[in-house]
Amino acid sequence: MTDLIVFALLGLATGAIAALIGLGVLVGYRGSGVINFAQGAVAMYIAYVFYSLRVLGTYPLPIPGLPGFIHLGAPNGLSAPIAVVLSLATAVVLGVLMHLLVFRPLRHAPALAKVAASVGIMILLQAAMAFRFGTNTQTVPSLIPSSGAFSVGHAIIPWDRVILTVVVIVLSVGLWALFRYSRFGLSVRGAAENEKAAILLGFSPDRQASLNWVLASLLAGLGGILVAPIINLTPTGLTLEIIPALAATLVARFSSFGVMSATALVLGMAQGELQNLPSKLSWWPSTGSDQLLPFLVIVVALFLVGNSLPSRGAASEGRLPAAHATRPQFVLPAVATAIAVVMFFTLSAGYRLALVNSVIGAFVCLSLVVMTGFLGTIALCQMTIAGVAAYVLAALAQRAGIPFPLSPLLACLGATVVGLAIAIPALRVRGISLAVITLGAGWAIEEFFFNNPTYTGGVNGTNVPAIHILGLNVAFSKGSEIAQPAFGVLAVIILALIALGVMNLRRSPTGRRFLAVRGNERAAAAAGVDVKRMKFLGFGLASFIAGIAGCFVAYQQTLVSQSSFDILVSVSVLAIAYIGGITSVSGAMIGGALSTGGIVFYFLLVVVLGNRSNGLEIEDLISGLGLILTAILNPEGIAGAMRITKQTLMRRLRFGPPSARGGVPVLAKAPVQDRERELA
Amino acid sequence: MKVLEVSELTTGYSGAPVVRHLSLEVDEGEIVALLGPNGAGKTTTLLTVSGLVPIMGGDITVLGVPVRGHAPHGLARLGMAHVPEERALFSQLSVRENLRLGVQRGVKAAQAIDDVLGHFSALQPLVGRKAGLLSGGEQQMLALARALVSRPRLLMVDEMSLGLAPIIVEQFLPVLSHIAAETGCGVLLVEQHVRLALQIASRAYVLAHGELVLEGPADHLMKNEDLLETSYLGQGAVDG
Repeated sequence: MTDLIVFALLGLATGAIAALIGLGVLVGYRGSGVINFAQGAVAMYIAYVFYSLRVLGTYPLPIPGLPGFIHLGAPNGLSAPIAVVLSLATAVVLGVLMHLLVFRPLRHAPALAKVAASVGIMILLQAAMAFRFGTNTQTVPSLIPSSGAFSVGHAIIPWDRVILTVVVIVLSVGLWALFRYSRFGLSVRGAAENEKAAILLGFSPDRQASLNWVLASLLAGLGGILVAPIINLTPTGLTLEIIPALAATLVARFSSFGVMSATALVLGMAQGELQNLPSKLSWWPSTGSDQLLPFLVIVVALFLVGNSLPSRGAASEGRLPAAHATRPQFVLPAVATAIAVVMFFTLSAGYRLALVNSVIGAFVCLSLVVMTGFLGTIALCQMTIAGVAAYVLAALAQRAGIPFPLSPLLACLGATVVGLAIAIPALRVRGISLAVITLGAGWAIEEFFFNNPTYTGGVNGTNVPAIHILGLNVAFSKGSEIAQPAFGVLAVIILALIALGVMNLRRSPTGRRFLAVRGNERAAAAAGVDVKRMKFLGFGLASFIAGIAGCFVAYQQTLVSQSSFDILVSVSVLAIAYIGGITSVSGAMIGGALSTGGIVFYFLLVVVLGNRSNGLEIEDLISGLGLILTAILNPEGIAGAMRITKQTLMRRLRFGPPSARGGVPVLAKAPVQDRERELA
Repeated sequence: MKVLEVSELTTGYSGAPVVRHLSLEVDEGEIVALLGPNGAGKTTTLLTVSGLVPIMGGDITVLGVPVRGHAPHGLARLGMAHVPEERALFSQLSVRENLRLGVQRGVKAAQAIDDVLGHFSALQPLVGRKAGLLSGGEQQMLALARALVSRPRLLMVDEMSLGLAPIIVEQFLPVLSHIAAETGCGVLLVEQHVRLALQIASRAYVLAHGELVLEGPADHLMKNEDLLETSYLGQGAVDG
């Protein structure tokens, strides 16, 4: 019994941070209709700022090229009140910047662009702090007494948990009252339902949104400052607390502050209990069951209330990025494949490795083209699905001795099965909720399955034997020579085939049905499209393609370890695919070139920047920023921009510059002339 | 004093004009009807006056302030109220909360709400109910009450009779006359029920295909129905 109370109380700290992040998510959602996946990252960022002020007496400037820190003349750290004020002021600035630079320009954009942008902020903030402070755990001095405790019966209850819980309760009640009784709160609730009506009554949605973002950032920042001393401060830890926070907000149907906070606290306590279970029950999985819980809550919540989640009545909704069908192309893919093959036989090992990474990245981007570009389902767990294939391959090839190509084929089918399983809860929901499901699923599989030594060898990984085709060794490395040309050629040929397949899929009736589902599920269903079948098909195909990527990662690394299939890798892969162009095969190829360790970053980091130690963080900084800019300025990605430029050039070559044809206004005048003719 | 002046207005969507060279004005305390068949551009005109649709040509002045360059929410604060076609109520908020959001800053909400409920006694027992649960007539009443609670100097009402029984509309219209006379508020009324509108309006404008085809005192138009019919249906239809 005492154990029960102790572990529940330990879990209260994570419950409290999830609640504070969740409160911020709710406030932001009410103010602007955006579910900010970066809310956890904001908490993390402000916690690092507080750490830096309080311990180092410096203010961090996380921009490469600037001096790292501003020294504030206090080598032993600033006093707690000053550090808190400066940290919360940073939260205010961060909230204003997020609103002005990201969410305001996207206020009429479709859900995909908003999710992509918020994921971009998440990557950017996380990379910024990893760049400045490294990924090691930092110890943050506590604001609330961390040593005191009192006892109830046999159980010892630490004061900090009690204070945290009280803070969460007070803030929840305060926010409830603000949105229930104040003119500001009522106007925000009103505008969330009908923005046009609020404008006609004299309320500025822009001002409302900016105030809500400031409030959301303050809540996350306060959470970060209060909880960072209790849980370990790393760039990823607090960032991923967004997952239980989202689970709680889903239970609260994105509206009730009280239900959300209570769910988050209870979830935290339950997670605390689950952490203790392996020591009590020998058959209980040793790790990850606590992280599985938020996902289960997400699934159950979406199943129960999925259809009735409130959506925001925005004044207008922007269009989705165009997914053009191209004529059957064989020459360009053949030439590109031939060039890649020649590169594998002529380039040095470093470039060959970068090229292999790019090919693998292109597979994942292709799977996202099918899933997100064509079908419109936002997927934040593609690398997890790839990871499933990698581990299944390891088990089949190493333990069961099944040879190539049967073992990778079965592994990809295994990934497909997992993808289809994730599709089941996804059938009832769309848009942002789906992004939440995939994020939760990815995190749960990673923690429960990948990190569990019983299943996968845990952090030590699992061995994968090399590929043999007709007695020929097609291994990734022979001795010290890595990225063997034969391995690269095999990957490139398979990539070319899959790319052609995806190109044809877009042109096929199935591709058109995918786009119909993406545009409007109800309209698609009314037109006779079997929406569920299309979703299953899309998830299945995308998972199979992601599985191929997973198999190549396994063959490349020979030792499968979870770090390649981390949930944050999935998130940054979505970023890269979006930047490349999420709706086209050429976009996926560009995404591949931009992927982690790929050819573009190899050139940039090794050749231009001279092999810096924090290259990974710089990559993340660039992709986070690139994702935000792409979502705002160029939703069709680099491939879309290239296509438009090409079309403009072709038109100019064919018809001459626009001025030669009398300019544009002809179009604008046409309807008037028609009407005038009608009237006459 | 003129509360609304529209001169040579051209407006529309995505570069295609829907209303062309429209000029009209509304004086203080005056009710003006804007009439015309479906698709004539009446609603577009009101949305442009509210700043929700950008002006393509010409000028609009509301209470002496040019609309061009003003944010739509800023116009509402000047003293303009617009009851749009779809009523635009907050269905999840109660009647009282809806009314409270109509009250302008610096005005005592309770007093303003009580004043307005005096005109709409049917709403009084419903103040705690969610707006979405009201009947069509009650919702229209609330939409009008919410516009009036801001004590506007220019009130624009779009298709008040839409979806309502004529008997209910007949109850509303006298309220508008009363408010206009009592507060000096100018009213621009877009209405399909031509006779009802002309009963309370002092002047009327008739739009067809985005252009002004007729204007004049309401009683004159009432007496010459054939003029109205021609402007609605076109010369050929009447002759035929």
